[in-house]
Amino acid sequence: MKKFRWNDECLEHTLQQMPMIKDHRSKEEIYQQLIKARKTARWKAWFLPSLISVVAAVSVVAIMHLAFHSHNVRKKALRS
Amino acid sequence: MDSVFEELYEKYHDDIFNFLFYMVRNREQTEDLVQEVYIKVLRSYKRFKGESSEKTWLLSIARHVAIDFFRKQKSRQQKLGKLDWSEEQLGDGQPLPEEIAIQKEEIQLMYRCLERCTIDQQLVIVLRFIQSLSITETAEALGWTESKVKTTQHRALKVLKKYMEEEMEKGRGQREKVSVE
Repeated sequence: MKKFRWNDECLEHTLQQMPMIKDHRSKEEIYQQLIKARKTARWKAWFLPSLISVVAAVSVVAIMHLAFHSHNVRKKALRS
Repeated sequence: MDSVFEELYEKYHDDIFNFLFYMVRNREQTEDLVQEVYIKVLRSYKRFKGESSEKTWLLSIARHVAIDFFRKQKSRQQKLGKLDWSEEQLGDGQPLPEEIAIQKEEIQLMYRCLERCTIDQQLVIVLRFIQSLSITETAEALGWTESKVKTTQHRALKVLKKYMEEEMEKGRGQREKVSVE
């Protein structure tokens, strides 16, 4: 049985006939969704890292404070 | 409405959507990725120096977004324990989009066969033949040399030819079986 053969031209021609797939949303709809997405992206880009650094700074201060405090307590205990 | 968005939408929305759709093959996913492209483009539009054309610049951003999506999808699937990702991707999970389903059989087969190509091959085929970009424009959009575009295109057409012949044979075999029964 003869096998069906494709040549490059035939392939290219079929590929060129592939349809354009279009977006079903309207321009306004896309713009509204974009504004929302940008807000979320900004929130992620600014708020989360800032929150993490604030938490980190507070923890460092707290640890230092605790260390300093326990050092003082030990000093006092040694003196008495 | 943002004037930059309006201009980009009028000129390139269809191209970007079509390109991303052929890469990810899912409408909702494409909508999300197009959104991501706009966010990135609007953020860096002022820095666009015009070294390449606006269209290839936009497509190069869309390509980055698509590759990033595949990377995330791959790591998510690996985390879920689906090690054989390539097999998963090749599955007939996604139904044919309406625009393809109404076309003749060859187009539908081509759509299926294209999915079996590597990501790089798909990128070249979609840009060169479906979006009708020149070799130079494709090289610009992909950040490749023109010779890389040519070799990838050559290999892609070769494997597509093989897949199409396999599919046609399979289809004919099935038809003959049905007629014998």
